[in-house]
Amino acid sequence: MNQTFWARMHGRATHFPIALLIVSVVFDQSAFWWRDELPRREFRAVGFYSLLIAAPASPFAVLSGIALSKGKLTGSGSLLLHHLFIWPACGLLVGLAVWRLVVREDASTRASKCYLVLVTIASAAMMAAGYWGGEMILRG
Amino acid sequence: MKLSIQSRGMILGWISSVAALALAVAAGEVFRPAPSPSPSSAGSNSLTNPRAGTLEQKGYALFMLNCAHCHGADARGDEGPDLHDVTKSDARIASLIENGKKGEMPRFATKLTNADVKALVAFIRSLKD
Repeated sequence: MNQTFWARMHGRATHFPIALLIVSVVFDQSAFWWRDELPRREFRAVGFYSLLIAAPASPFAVLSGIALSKGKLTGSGSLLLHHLFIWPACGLLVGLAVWRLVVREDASTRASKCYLVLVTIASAAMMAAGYWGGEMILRG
Repeated sequence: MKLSIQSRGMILGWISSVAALALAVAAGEVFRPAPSPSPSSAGSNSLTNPRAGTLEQKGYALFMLNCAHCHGADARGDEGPDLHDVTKSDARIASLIENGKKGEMPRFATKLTNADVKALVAFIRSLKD
């Protein structure tokens, strides 16, 4: 399989988890700040399931990216910047998804706040990684 | 000792996180091509930063940010070709940087200024075997 194949695969595999993670953060943040309990619960559910789909989808994005960069985990220039953001984002995404799957609705307020901060950081790092990935493809 | 559900979640979260990153490292090993000894890769595998304030130095910085991920941090080639001892004219190199090559190299005309391209050409010219 040549690099064009992996470039196409990476392009197809990355946007799905990125979008789902962003959706998850938006709904979880909304659930946190919303006053009424009913929409809060529904927002939390959307956030939970979005994250739960984003996490298992991310290995496909990671593996196709590694194949595309011929096994480079750091690299240089834009690729290095892409990797500097993607590895923490990926680690956080998987870790937080597992934490949330185990804890479900039993998280304390403090733990929920920590979760929100971390998942927002993960989402921001994912977007930054996406930006540098786009820089490589569209503008070199 | 019975752990709370939050502690269990945290421990499992950490383990999965580390496992995911370990998987990425392992995949890196799988997809990394075996090193092949060739005359072009026999030299040093890193470039020396040219003297500060020179055109080559500016070109070097631009190269590391924009070109190194395809041409290699040592400019010895990776996805793109080795840039040492390029025989093309300065104008041809500048045109290639600006307009790219369909299916092979992206165009940089919108990203780099004429001065940037000039600096890159100067840097590429400074690369000797």
